[in-house]
Amino acid sequence: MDEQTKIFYQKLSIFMGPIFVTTFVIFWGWLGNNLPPPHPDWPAQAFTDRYVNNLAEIRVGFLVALVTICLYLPWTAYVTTRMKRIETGPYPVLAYTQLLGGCLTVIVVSISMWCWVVAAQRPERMPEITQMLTDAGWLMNDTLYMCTTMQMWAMALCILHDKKAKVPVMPNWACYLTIFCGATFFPASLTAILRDGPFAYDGLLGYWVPYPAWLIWMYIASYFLLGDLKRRVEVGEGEEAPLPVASTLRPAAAVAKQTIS
Amino acid sequence: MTVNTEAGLSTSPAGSKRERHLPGVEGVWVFVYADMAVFALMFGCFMWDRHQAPELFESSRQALSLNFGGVNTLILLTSSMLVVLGVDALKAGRTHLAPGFFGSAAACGVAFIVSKILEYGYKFDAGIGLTSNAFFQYYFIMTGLHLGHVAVGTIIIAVLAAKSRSERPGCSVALYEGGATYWHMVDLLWVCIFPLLYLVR
Repeated sequence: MDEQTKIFYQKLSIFMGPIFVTTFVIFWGWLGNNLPPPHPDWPAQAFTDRYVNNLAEIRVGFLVALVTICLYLPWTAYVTTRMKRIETGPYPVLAYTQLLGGCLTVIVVSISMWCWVVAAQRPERMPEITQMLTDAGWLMNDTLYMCTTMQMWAMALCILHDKKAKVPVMPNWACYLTIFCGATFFPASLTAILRDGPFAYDGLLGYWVPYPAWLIWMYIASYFLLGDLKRRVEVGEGEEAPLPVASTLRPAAAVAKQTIS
Repeated sequence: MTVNTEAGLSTSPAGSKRERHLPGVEGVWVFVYADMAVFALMFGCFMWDRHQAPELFESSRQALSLNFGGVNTLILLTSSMLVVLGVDALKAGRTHLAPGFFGSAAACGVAFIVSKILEYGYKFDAGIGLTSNAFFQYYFIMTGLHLGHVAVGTIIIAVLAAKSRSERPGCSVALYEGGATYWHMVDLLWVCIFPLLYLVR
C-alpha cells in the first residue's frame, strides 16, 4: 500500500467518528423515537402503543443504527494506532485499553438496540414483555457505560502524557473535557433503581447530560485527530528520527574521544 | 510518566508583559467548571422538586444530622487550608513542610469518608434509604456523588503528598495547583450541598 492510500484510509477512519454520531442522532435518536426517550414509569400498555404507533420509524431507525454503530470501529482503530505512536514500546496498555473500550462500546450499544428491535418485531405480544425489552435495552447502555468511560480516559491520559510531540494530538483542555465526558455516565447507574425524576433513564442526568456529552466528545476528538493527521502529514511525526538521543550522546562521545586521545 | 503540564500553561513570549498566572493547567479548570455545571443542574432539579412538595422536603430535612453536616464542613474547610499551605510551602521553597500539609489534608479526606459512612449507617438503621422519598433520593445521590469526588480527591492529595517528599526548592507547582484546584472544588460543592440539604428551611 503506498503512503497516499494509507493516509486516505487513516483520514477515512477519523471521518467515520462524526459520521457515526450524525447517523446515530438521526436513526437512533430521531427515527428511533428516543428524542425524548420513553418514560420508565409509564404503564406497560404505553410502551406497546409507542411501538405500534411508530412501528416503521422505529424498525428502520434501529436497524440502520445497528449497522452504522460499527463505524465506531475504524475510528477506534485509528485512535489505537495513533496512541501506540505515543506509547511506544512493546507494552502499549493505554492504547489497548482504549481499543477494548471502543470495541465493547459497539457491543453494548448494539445489544441495547437489539432489545428494541426484538420489541418491535412482534409488538402485539403481552405489553409487559415489550416494556421489559425496552427497559432491558436502556439498562444495557446505562449500566455498562464503563467500557466507553475507560476508552475515553485511556485516550485522554495517553495524550496528556505525550512528552515528545511539540503540538499534542489534543490540547490540554480537550483531554480534561474527555475525562469529564467519560465521568458524566456515572449517575446513569441510578437508572437501574429510580424510575422517575432526573436520574431515570429519560431524566436530565440519566439521559440528557451523558449521551450528548459522549457524542459531542466524539466530534471534538475527531476535529483534533484530523488536525493532528494534517500536521503529521505536513511536518512529520518527529519521533521517528531518534534525534534527541543522538544529540545527547554526541557530546558525551566527543568527550570520551578526547579523553582517549 | 507525569502529566504534560507545559502544553497547558499560557506561553508568554519573553519580554512581553507578564500574563496573569492560571493555577494548574487550563484543562483542570475546564473539568472543574463542567463538573460544577452538572452539580448546578442537580441543585436546580432539587430546588424544583422541593418547590413541588415543600412540606415533605422540610419534614425530611429535619431527620438529617446537623452535627454530622457541620463536622463534615469543618473537615473539608480545614483540608482546603492545609492544601493551600502545602502549595505555598512548595512555592516558597520550604519543600520539607509540604508532605506534612498534603498528608494531613489527605487524612481529612479519609475522616470525611468515615464520617459520611457513619452518617449513612445511622440513616439505614433508622429505615431511611435511597427510595424512601424524593428528599432522601436527592440526599443520598448528591452526597454520594460528592463522596465519590472526595474519594478521588483524597487519592490525588495522597499521591501529591508522596510526590512532594522528593521535591527541591524551585520545583514546578503546576501539578500541585491542579490537584489543589480540584480539592477546592470538592470543598466548594460541599459548601453548596450542606446548606441546600441540611439548612434551608
